[in-house]
Amino acid sequence: MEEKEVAQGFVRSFTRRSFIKGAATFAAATAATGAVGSSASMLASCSPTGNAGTTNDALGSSGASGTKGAGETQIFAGACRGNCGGGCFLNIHVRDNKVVRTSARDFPNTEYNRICTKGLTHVGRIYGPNRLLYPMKRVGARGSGDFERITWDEALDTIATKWQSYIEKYGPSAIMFFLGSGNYSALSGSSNWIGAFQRFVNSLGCSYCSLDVDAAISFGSGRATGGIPLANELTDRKNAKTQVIWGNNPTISLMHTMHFFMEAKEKGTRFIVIDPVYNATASKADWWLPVRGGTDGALALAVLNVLVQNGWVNDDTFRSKTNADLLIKEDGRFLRMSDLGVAPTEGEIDPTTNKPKLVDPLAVWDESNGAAVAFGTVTGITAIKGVAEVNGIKVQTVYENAMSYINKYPPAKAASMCGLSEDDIYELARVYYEDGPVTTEIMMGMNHYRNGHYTAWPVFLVGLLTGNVGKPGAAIGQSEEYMPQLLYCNSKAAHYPLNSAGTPAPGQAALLHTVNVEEVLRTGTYQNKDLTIKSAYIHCSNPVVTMCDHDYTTGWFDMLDFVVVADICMTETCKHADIILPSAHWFEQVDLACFFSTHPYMIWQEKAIEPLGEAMPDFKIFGNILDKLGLGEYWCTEEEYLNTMLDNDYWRSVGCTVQKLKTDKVARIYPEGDHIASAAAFGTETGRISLYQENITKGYTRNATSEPIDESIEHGLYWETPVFAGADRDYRKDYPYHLLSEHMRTHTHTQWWDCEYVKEYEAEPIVRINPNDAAELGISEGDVVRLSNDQGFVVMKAAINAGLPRKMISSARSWQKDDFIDGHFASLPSKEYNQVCANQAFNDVAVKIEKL
Amino acid sequence: MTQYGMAIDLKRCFGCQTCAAACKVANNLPKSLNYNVVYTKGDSDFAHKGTAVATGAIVNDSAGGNYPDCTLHFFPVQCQHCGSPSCVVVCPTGASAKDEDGIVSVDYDACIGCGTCIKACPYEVRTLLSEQQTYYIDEALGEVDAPPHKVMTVEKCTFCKNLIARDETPACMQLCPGRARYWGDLDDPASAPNVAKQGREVMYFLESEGTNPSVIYLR
Repeated sequence: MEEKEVAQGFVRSFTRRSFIKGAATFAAATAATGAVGSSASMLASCSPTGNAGTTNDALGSSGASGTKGAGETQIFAGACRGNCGGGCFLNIHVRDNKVVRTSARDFPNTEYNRICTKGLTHVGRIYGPNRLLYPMKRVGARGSGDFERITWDEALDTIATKWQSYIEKYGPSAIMFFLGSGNYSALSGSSNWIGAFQRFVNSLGCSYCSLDVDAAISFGSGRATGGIPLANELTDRKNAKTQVIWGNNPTISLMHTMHFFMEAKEKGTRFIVIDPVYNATASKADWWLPVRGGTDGALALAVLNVLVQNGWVNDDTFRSKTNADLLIKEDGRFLRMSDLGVAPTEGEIDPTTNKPKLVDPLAVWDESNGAAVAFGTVTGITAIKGVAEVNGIKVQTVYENAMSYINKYPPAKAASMCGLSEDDIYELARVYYEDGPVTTEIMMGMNHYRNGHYTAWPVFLVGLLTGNVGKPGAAIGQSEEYMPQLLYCNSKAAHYPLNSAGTPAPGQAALLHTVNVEEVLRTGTYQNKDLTIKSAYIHCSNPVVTMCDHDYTTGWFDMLDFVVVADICMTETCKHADIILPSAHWFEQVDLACFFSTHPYMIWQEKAIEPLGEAMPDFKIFGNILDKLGLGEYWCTEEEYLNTMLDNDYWRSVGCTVQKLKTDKVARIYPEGDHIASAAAFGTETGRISLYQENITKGYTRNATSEPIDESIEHGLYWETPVFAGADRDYRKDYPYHLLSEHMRTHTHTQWWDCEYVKEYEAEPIVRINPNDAAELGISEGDVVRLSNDQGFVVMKAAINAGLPRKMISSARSWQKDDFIDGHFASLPSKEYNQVCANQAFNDVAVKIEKL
Repeated sequence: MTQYGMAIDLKRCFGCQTCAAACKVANNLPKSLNYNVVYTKGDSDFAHKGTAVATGAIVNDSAGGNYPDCTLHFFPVQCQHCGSPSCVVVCPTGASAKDEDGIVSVDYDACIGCGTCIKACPYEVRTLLSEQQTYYIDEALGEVDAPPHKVMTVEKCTFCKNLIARDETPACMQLCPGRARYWGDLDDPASAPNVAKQGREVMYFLESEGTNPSVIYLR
């Protein structure tokens, strides 16, 4: 009976009000009638260990215990943990088995205390009208939203039957796991390197699709640093003489970092903001540089130009701190001693091959002896210029290679490209030279362009070459903390389980990128090998909305035979599923959070309430699916997983253990004292700052039919304007407005779209436009406008905002299809990546605007 | 004597709306009711509140001026718990009162919803609940002793006196991401608002109205 009543999507036999009121008695009543009794017993019997229930009790036993009378409020600890970087430590107020309120809880260092509109309105997500309460199956067309309630048994049996048939015919690689960033926790969440989802993937042996976001900064800066972290803890900002906020709008995107910046400013730190938009962050600046969008790389190259021309970065610095004295051959590779007749020697055993590594030292020119010798053996001065030939081999120094590019960006040229004055560029260079220590905060403003990694290399070099790293007050990078988790979590043991026969899990199959999916589905091949993908499992993600090119994403979704989406609420992506699984809300389960946050703590999530309806923690869903597939031996209990993950001497040394977390609810990931990143040794071959690389890493590959890569621009410094948004691009003649995509104060990506409370602050999609542009187009506040380009369109209201420069508009990329008057914001950005960097270019977008 | 009050540092406030959301949930406010609104200002004339989505604007956070010479401020406004409250003087039933701790309160049983106080208050922070209220979530959320939201009564910021009675601070004060808000007894020279205002330019909203507000804005 009840199934019939939910046939049309969200219509439920319980009204929202009656459901919540009845929640306490729901389980008992349905168990008595047998309606979901089978699900309840399935939960116990499907657990591979058979004791999931008791395990959960054990994990939760240190919670806000004690029986409370009716109307009394209990407080549980937990974490707000979408991918905003906040990772807020919360008090969860529970009364009569309902979450009634959330508030900020004290961190050991209360400077880190935090909460925002989102953390405060979880009640709107937990009890919202779009909450998924039962498994459902599609009964209408893909995307129609017509679903019918089914039991967990039917959902799991359907998944197992479908997947088993694909596995038998094509192998487990026919199933593609797709991960977003919707829950930064270990058990049910999406934490890279730590999340139990990876154990599920490895146990199944399925394929994996990377969503490729936020990748260009690390890709480009890694060329300079070899990938070492250079950010200092936020409590160190007081030690900076200057802070440069570059491509970062913390008042919206990382609001809990902002008070550290303002407090430092009040104590005398100069607060510089480099951003095309006069936003709330720029409004707090001592000096705002209104750089033209997407031209930060040209600005950085010109700053480097000034630094070198004025001798503020001198030859000694290049020689001692960088790889400037390496010699590049005509084929683009470094001159090595083997080129000079010195045979390579055998070094340490390479653990990946079990064979000795070949050691073929880099060659440099020893000025005092007038000879090429092995790098690292020179006691005198090495040459950084004027070495044209060694033993008949034509060479160029890395210094000369870098300077030939930096010289292309004199301040006058860059000023014109960047919309700044030459004085601005000189002053920024002087600040880095004279007003250190400088902390440079870099976020994703410059990342979301096709040229993002070309930009990041010179931007990082500005701070690196001026010595503004590796000491109190001097740092570069993002303020998110995740390196200890990345380095010290025992992922190998947690993610590669053995079965009872001692056989290891098969491990992940193919690694795809979103840009590959359509061609793999169409051709049945990937990287020139057969690969048939039949099914996708979507975890902690709403990719139909958050990936570039909406038509492309819905297109490949609809090419799949069988799509499973697990989520807390009925997202736009859920509507493209065949089976929807109701994930438990964060507070309805035990978990360990935050593996990516602007504070240095792990947080214990207590189970504050029972899952609503038949919602289930994702960790249990994974175990149940594996069990149905006969792979349950690879799964484990929550406690086993967490104990394995934290089984490392580092975590014991800082007191980050499951036992301590259960007791204290929070544990610091560093020893006490401001964490200062070390810049003593870079991750490059020389251990120094790199201005040139001989090996090009490719972030992804396309099929052989794609255009070949131009490797000449990937070895050394190089920069180009954004592909669509660049002011010099022909594309802008047809589409004159650069469209900047924004974060919102009240959504984390699309999360909180279903929370009515936050619509009091951001009610609907809005495009912001400069008043002069608006006047030219006849647009007034609140007018409905259509943004379009050769890919798609979207219709929404316009707001006049003098903080936008001419010919740049901005709008949030965090709304779903039904929120727009027409079209879709995600239809406007291109899905294509840079030739080597797999990175969604959300800001490299141009459109025309029409008033409707 | 005690005069509860707060200081709000406008140089620190960056318009995140956290204080507004904290108030909304802790007090279980109906959809159409807000005690605390964070306005956006594209000018520097603080005699006017500015605009807010909560009061009908389509968007927050719009700068004024002429790029790149722009202006953007944020202005959180709630009941000012005035030393000389104009609302109390005009209340015909005594429902609006100045309590011993300085809080301007409303006795919901005595209030007849006549709206006289709304006209008398220069800050436009009082709301008449003229009809049955609707909620985002149809459950009693927030604090168990949140205001009742009775039809034909007037409501406004209570300074969360239910929380103060439990030695907590008002919901909006519990965590300001910008650390812009200070709470305490204005009659105590060592209280947080009095310490925070040292050396700062102090502004009282619509000071010329003679209401002697207990919310101190720091500029």
